[in-house]
Amino acid sequence: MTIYALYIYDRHCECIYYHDWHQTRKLQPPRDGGQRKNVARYEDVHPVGEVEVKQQGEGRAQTTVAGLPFDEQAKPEEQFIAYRTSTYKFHLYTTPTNLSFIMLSDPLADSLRGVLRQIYAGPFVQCVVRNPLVDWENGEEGERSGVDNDAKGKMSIPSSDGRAASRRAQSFERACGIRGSVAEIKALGVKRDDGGNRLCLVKRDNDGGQTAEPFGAVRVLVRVTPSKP
Amino acid sequence: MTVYGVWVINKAGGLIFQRNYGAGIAQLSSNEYLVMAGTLHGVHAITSRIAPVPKSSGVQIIEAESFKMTIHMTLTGIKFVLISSVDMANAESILQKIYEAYADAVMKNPFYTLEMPINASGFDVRMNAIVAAAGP
Repeated sequence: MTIYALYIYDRHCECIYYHDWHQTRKLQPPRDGGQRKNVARYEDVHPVGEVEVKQQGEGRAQTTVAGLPFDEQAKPEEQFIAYRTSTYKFHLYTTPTNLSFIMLSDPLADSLRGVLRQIYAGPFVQCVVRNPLVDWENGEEGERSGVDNDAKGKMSIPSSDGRAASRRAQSFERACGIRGSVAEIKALGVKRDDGGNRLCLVKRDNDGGQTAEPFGAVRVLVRVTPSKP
Repeated sequence: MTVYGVWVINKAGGLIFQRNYGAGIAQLSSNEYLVMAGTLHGVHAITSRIAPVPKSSGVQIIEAESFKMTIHMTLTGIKFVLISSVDMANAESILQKIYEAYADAVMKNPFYTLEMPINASGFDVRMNAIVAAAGP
């Protein structure tokens, strides 16, 4: 069985994640503004052991057409779950929150909806939904970003300013199971410590000093590029 | 193993034949069927263009929770669409029989104009027989 690609679309029908394998055909790059930033593309994430793809990976990305009308009211039981052509099969799993997981495979594959559900329930919920550093839901159209926070130089985190940082830190604390009072997490940020990729939670004490508390026990699955001052 | 309906779509995407089989199937208006046929025509073209490998055909089977759509496109670009229950096993061979009936009862009819809606009673009779043989 061959898997060709995985797409994840959010409830606005925008692509928030894309990855391909075994593709021999070069896809057209998206038009300007047609793709969110931080959507994984071939240049950013290298598939495992795919030399042939590597040679022609430049400009590989899927095309997203913004503003396509789509019936968000479509009843789940009336949706299609797969289609097949002579060379590939398209599998669709839609979550109750209207996220769409799409996988392309060879035409002889059995239904992959179970696999797509596993991807949703496992890695997606674990590493994206519970990851406060991936902000794929909020923002206006055109400003929302994808879920690939490995994309180099594209992700920035406000270090210690404003409500956004506070909100992020709060959800980060929730996700990590850390309890803090509202006074403590006022104007918080998240920063990378000197050692590399380990994250610290920056706390501002009531007397104005700052402390950085590393998440020693918490496995953090993201790499962070701090925003430039 | 139930056939719910059959469409024939000409090479321009126009619906030239549409019948529902089986009792209790919700009817759409004829205009809605025309829109659906045109949409399927477009989807067929899109699915061959977005293929991850070169030289893909258009969509051949669409599966949903409650029905299955099997699409057979002839070399001349006419699409035969069979809407059936999910467990329909021999949908391709049924479409092949429908194509034969089309060749016999429509193409050999001297009063039929190409690309126009099919109003041949002989074709209807052959279709009823094929669908009846396909299952309840």
